[in-house]
Amino acid sequence: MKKFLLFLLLALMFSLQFWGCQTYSRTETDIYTISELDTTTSYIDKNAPGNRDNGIIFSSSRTVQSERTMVQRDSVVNREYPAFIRLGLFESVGLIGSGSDYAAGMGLFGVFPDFDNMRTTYRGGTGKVFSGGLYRFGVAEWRLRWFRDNPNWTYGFTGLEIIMPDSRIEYALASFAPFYLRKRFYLREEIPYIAITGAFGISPLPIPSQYVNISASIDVGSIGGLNVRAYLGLAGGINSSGSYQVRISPAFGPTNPPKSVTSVFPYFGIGVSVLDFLNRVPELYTEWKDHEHSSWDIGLTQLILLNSGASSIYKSDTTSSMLTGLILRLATASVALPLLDWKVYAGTSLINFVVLGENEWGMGILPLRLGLWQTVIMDEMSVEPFIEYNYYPSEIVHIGGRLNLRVTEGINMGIAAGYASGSTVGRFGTDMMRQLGKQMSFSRPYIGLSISFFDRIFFPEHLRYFKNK
Amino acid sequence: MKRKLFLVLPIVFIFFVLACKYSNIDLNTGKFQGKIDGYNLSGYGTIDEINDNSVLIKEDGFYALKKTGVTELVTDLTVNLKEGEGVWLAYRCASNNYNNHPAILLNYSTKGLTIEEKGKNIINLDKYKARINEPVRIVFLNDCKRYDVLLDCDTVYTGYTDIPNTEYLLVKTLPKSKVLLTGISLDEREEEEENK
Repeated sequence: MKKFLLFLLLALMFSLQFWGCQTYSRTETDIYTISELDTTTSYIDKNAPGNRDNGIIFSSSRTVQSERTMVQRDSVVNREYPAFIRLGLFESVGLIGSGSDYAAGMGLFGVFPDFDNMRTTYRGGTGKVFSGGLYRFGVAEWRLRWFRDNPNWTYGFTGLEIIMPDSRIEYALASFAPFYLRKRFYLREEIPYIAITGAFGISPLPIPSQYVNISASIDVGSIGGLNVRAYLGLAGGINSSGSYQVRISPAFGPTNPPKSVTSVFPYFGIGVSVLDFLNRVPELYTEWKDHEHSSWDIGLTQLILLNSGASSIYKSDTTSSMLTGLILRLATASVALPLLDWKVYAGTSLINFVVLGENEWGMGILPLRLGLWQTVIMDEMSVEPFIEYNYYPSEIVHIGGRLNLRVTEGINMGIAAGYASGSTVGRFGTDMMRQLGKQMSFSRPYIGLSISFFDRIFFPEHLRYFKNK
Repeated sequence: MKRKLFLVLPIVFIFFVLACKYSNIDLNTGKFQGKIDGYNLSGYGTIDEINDNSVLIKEDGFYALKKTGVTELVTDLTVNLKEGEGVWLAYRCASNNYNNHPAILLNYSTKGLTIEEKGKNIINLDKYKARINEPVRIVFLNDCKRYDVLLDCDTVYTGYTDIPNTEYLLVKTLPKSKVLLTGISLDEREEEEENK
């Protein structure tokens, strides 16, 4: 365990070495010195009282004073630009054809697994389309200017990458901070971008895995931080006998001691990524304040603390409680649609927990949300009635509304009310159900307080659709 | 075989890491006057820093020079055309949006020297032609609204402009050109007088 923690620390330090030379934002400070020349001319007539003969002999008493001054003042301009080509929180790809006999069944995009089988001892089976998955946590890419400024080359790192061809964990390749080199060919240069991307990835350290990953993909996005990708690739590498995957694998035991495993597999996959933002090179020279946005809201965490009248999750006894449950949305986007002057939005979240009370709960992965975004006070307040359908692993229909007050650019507070009806559905497996609570159907209204962190609400002035209005 | 792979991957990785190169270069002026910041606005391989105080700008090279906080600039540099047509120098401008910024531009080429202001041609000085491997000292003196352009020791043009003074000097090679900049000095006007 100590060795693993030491490895984590070293991997973090190693990756920081490279992240340190690049940042999220680039600041330019320029000084303009403005020079102003000013000439003051004074005409003074000192007339003595009484009459005086002015003529040829006596000159005029009028004097002229001309004073020239120069004023110089500095105008300092600070400009903030994005410094990255791509910055993403989470990417998931459901892999097809990477291991048919031991298919894990990770579902479309790799995010709809059979939760009952989510254990290291599971050895998969046949008849499942998505045999494995590719997962990336924390993706960063920066511009690479080589080959005489050949466009759209990037280099970057992924915080943690896991490529699992099937359910056999000893064949899963994993790496902290693998290095990636990418080249994009843009087919569409307007939002949402469409590009063909070639990638070469390398994980040089032997633990957890040492591997290379070569792939080509068709990328659509980003819009609201959402991207959809189709991958074709080949990954190959080695898990040493000391690697975590080999040590916990049920394939090895006292009679069959751990040994290094070579894992080479081609794959085809369909993936999705959230909070994953892509800039083209011209956008690196566009100030942040002038960037184009397509969504009403993009956020990492949205929490509603609610009262639904159900028994509370916060108290184990039967006494009444003001709060009974919560709604938690992680990695949310609300993309404006061209309906009702772009007020209608389509939204989703990576994970959506709807917990109305003890035993009345459910979870949704990539739920479908349709709503109406109405700005009440510019730059401060907005309301959003919505209808949401959670289809997997729980089935929940959720109608509600939120009143949002922007506190800062990343923190919002408000009130929320709604009605949720559905059932937990037993797709979680008996082990998980024992931990999480009973499987139950529920229908309840609720009212609650909402608070959001790292959640940015956009107003009409920010959206690209209103720029020229 | 596996051991070889263990070794090869880190070596390949190091190769890529070496490509992670900063795009700004500090130039040593050698006068205890602080360093000049140089920014490579073009691709890797188009700008080479030589001996810590001179710069070779190759084809498609675009280079910005700046001395932080100094706007009443006297820029002094020796331009040595190595190949091609010549060089483009921009004063009273900034690296931001440099293609559209109003500026005073000097086109010093084998056809002569032309001076432009805010996109308008001010003067053509055909007499002063750039020649391959014949270094020429170009001095641009900012004095409030007035500016003087000196080639070697001749004041070839004096003009007046409303464009604010800035910290920058931008240098770009003309097509298929390669230029060596030596003796680079970006001084404040008073400093320059003292250094004489």
